Amino acid sequence: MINLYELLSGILLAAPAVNTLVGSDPKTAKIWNSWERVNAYPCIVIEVDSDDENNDLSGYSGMTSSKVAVTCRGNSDSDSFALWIAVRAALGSYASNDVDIILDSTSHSATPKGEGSTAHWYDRIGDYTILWKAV
Amino acid sequence: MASVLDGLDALLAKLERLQNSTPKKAAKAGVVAGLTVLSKNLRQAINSSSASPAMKRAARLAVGKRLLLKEGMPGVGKFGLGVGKQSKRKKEKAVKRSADKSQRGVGISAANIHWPTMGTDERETSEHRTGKMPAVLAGVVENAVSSSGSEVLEAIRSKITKVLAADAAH
Repeated sequence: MINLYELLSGILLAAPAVNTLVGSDPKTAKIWNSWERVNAYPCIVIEVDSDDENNDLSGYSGMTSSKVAVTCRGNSDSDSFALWIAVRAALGSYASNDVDIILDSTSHSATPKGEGSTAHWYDRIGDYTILWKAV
Repeated sequence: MASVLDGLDALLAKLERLQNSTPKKAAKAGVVAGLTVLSKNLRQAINSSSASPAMKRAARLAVGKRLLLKEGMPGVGKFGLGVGKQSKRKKEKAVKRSADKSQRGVGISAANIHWPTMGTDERETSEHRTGKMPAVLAGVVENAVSSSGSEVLEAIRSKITKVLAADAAH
């Protein structure tokens, strides 16, 4: 069984373009799996939304298809964009026999200020399908 | 000298299968492929909305699709927010959240995803006021459908072609 958050954060931490922006120490790097833990920017939040067993035309394929949202948040649009470019390159260049990372779509949005808040955030969200085989 | 043509029974069985079961199988696979594209675009529309990250995640978890299996209509499907059966994992999470008294509200899941999609008026229970929810996810399904267009048709066509080829070669 693969922990997708661990896998993706490991790939991102190993990529120089990413770790110069969010840090390289796994304990302090700004890569989280929950929005409740976010306390600094720019940061990456990895959310695993679903795990579905896959089949193919011949029947059971042994693969699992997971939907994962990877959000790159920055205080400015350019921070978010720079982080997103680095993340996309790191995940896109990952190669393995048991894991396939496919970028389904990218969207960007600005999060409006909360009530009484002066903070503004910019998000770029990559929606990934990850096909993986339990090893 | 004589030649014997063999395999006629196998050929007839194959032709019968191609006539009876293959069209239904191809139609179902095609519709599922189309629904997959629509679901992908719905997730994108949700991510592009101005809702909070927590709301976006709740909405993404509520995205579902369902094949409607009715006699004589093998190729009808449905997709959207709160469609399909809720998985055991998601259901457990929603129940846990609603039972957690330290958190405000009951959380958003497939059961009440229509609140942020359509918005609510000011409401109150017998115990307290629950407030009003704005329609932060209004129009996401319509956006997903309108942005899908030919991509859905292409996915259906491609899948049906594959199923037909696989069945004919079998």
